[in-house]
Amino acid sequence: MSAPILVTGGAGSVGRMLVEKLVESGRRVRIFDLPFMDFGGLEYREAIEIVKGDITDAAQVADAMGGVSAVVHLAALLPPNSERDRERTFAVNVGGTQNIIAAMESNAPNAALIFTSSISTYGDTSAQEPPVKTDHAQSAIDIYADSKIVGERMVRESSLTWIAMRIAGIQVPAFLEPPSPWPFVAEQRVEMVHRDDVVDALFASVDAPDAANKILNIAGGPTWQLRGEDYVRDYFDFIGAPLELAEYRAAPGWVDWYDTEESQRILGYQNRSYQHYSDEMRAIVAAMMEE
Amino acid sequence: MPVSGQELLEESIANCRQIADGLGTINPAWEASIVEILEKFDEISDTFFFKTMPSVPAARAVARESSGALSLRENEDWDSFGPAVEQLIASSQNLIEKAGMKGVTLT
Repeated sequence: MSAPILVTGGAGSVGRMLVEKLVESGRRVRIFDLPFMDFGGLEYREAIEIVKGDITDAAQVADAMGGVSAVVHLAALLPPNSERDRERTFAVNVGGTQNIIAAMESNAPNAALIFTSSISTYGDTSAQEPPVKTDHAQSAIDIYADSKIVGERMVRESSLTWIAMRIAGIQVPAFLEPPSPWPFVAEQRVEMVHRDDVVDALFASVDAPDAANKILNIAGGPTWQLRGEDYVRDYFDFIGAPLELAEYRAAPGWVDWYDTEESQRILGYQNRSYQHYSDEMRAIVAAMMEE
Repeated sequence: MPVSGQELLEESIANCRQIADGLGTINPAWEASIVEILEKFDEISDTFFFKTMPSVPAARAVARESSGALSLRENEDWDSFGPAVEQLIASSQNLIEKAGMKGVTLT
């Protein structure tokens, strides 16, 4: 059997899908996630080992690291929770990443670290010419992005082989309440990415030597490049809610259009167009209307 | 004729209040069930879900069943009333579950 791939946050939404995809491909997976998470469907399976712990606990992280061939580090405190307590967010997103790096350098120095960062680390780029490239300066406008900038810097400065994936706003094909306000102004450029494309990107990164020590923008590609108001109009249309309920940020947010040429060339993950996502959303709501 | 999920919920609340009124003298368990439904409806009444079209089918089912149960109560058809309350509880649970929609997270 192959050495396991450690997936932190492996019991979460994206984590579960990644774990299933890795297992389907014949790999062994070790999930590291908080004890209170729902591990239903993941337990008692030969190819999946579950380690319940907290990434802020260095000893627990070190114990989970033995013999791994790669680490996909998904565990993080996400918005809106990340914006409530800066100290807690940094403990999880920065301290947790530091624990991962230290444990890998000691116990799995040849394993690759796939670090999930965010395009929010670029800050407000709305006044500049798109697309945003990976060499663009980082400038956080929220606590989450700030924590990801620090975490990413630690990863890049480590002795490990790493991939830093700056992931755009993930769109889940599901009937979900829209954020209020949306994190952008109406006329702002927006480019999201389908959740399943993110899973495909993470999956491909596990065995992508060309991606080693690279920063990659992960976004939906040209079909997802819209204006904020167009995206929001579509979303309210999908869920059958009045558009006048939509609220936008007062000032531009951290969304834009991204240069994903390199990430797509290496990882080949842009498999679901915006039209595909739109069709999924319409089908979901149509099914609800027929109940 | 109510057309929005919000209006259908309000109709259901009004029906359930009438159903519950004095029901405890007939069957305390029935009254407790309806009161519990009313408390849940109060919790979910301001949620975004009721501003969406997919709230209509689930809310319409509750409105229809609460109306039916109210009619049975008014006619004192207690043999049919018990099963009607069971059906109302089931459709109410479905509505309450759907109203707890999760939010979009953009990171």
